Amino acid sequence: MDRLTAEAEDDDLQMASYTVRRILRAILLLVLVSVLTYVLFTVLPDANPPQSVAPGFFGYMKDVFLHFNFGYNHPSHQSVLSLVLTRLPATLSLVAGAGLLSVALAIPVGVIAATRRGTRVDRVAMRTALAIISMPVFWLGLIVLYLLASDVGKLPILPGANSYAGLTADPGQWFKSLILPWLVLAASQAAIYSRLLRGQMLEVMDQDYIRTARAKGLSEQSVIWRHGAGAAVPGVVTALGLDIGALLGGAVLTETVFRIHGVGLLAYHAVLRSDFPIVQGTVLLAAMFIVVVSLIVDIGNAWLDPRVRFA
Amino acid sequence: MSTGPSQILLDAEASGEPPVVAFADTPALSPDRLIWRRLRSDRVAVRSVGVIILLLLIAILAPLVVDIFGVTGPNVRNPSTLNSFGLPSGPSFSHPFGVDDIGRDVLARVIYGARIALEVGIFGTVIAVVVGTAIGLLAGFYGGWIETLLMGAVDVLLAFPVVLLGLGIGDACGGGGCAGGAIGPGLGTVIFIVALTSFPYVARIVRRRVASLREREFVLAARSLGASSGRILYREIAPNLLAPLIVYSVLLVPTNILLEAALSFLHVGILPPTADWGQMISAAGNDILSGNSAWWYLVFPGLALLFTVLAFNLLGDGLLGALGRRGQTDG
Repeated sequence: MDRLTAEAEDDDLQMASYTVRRILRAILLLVLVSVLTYVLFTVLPDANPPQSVAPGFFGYMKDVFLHFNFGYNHPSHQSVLSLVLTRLPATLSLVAGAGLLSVALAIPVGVIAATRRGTRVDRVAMRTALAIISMPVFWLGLIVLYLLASDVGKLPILPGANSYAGLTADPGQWFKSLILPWLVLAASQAAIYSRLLRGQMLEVMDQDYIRTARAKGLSEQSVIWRHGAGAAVPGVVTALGLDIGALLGGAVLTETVFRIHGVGLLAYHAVLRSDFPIVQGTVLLAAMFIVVVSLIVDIGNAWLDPRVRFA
Repeated sequence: MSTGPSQILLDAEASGEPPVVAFADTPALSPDRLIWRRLRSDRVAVRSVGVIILLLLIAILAPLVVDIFGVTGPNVRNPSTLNSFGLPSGPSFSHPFGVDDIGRDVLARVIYGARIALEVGIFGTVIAVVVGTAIGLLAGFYGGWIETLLMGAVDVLLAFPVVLLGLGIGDACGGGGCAGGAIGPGLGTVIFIVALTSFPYVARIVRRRVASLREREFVLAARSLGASSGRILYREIAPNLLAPLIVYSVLLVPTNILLEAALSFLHVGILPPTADWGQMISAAGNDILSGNSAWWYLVFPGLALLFTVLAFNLLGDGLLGALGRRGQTDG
């Protein structure tokens, strides 16, 4: 009993120490990300783009970290932070839905390809995945709009560009308008994860405990899905957490194609209007967002898997 | 489309330790020759090499190819191809891929577009691989504070979403260039963005590999014989990096081509009127969204992009297979 308590305390201690180390690292990253943004957008350009934060490096850092000022948009009298926050729900809807959808699509494809390794099914699935990965997301989006959008499509069945409505304003419209963008943004990610999952399944299915599961007479379906996929899928979910940057980048393009008024379209329109403070602020906020998300993913992982805490 | 530098590449990296080139069927050949033999027997990989060579020829000989097809040059406007409403006409005998919104021949622009795609894809990748390898070598070999510093910088870069960072830099440098004229607007800026966003991945891969090679017996043997650090890096470690670096380079090219197209699509890439696939898709998209059925100048540049990127991805996939890293080596 005493030993068990001691071990549990030990565990808690390790978890706490890992969490603290990881948070400190994230804070350092936040500072460095701001420094790099300053260098890339203020020091590097020859024709100095207009700034709306305090001049000089220290003025800039003070603005960002003490006043949470990421820039100011004079025409609309709004801070970049408030503009981004207003647009965030649309982007999060798009990214979260596409992320979940990509994993949901990847699981059957990856598992079936792995269990039929080397067969025609496997080859066709993996080559199709490669073709989807090779497709530019903005092109896929436009093709889909051309074929299926209710206003300009040849087979008008789903809401197309500029049809997005907020979740709280009109849940039905929110869902319908996001079906195509979700599919388009999820496609390449789903293809990547099905390849990843296939590889991990192949590794898992070679393990001793799979042989044990078979030896004790479990049905092959149960071995594959419960013991095999059950062990391989968490790796894909972690990959999704770390791929949030790729998804956000894809969201910029998807929002541009589907005219969804999210953070990506905000940045794109700012580029067209030469409104540089918004561009700069959006890039910095996105990087900070990613730092925070990967912090959460790492701590979550360590909580689930004690081995991570020693890394 | 993978919008962060090559996810396939990361899959490859995730699959772990240095490749064990174990081939039970062919015992008496050196690993290099085994990999080569494997690759040659992979029909898809061989065909994709053929496609890549063809694309390179088309890009280099673009003016000639345009002449062969007998179409007007990429920047020649043909006012007669627009109807009385100013709408472009579709595929015809004199313009096989139709014309775009201002009457330029789409086939000619698709052919010339290959130049930009391959230029950015290849040069951007070469720069990324050189810079990434140098950083990874230093960090992996020396460790300590050098490693902390260099890999810290790499981590910072990796925190940015690639497309957004590219959008920002493209906007900042698009006006008057960057770094005292070293990075010009347009092509220069795009190559800079592509190299900046992909070298961190190369650096990570090289560092990890060097760190594990450093502890291997043959390196320890060289060290105990009194070899200098420079000699160990050059003679013992570098040769072992060659195969993975070739694979990663091949896999980075398509990612970088897609990023270039995305930047041009977002109006922060190649400057008009230079023919560029991303830009063509962008113009076509505006047309499609306003209800015009000018599908041809949306479809053809997109297909060109898809086939180019796919050819490199298939070759990279074949190389991974030949190295025994794909999990289906005997599939």
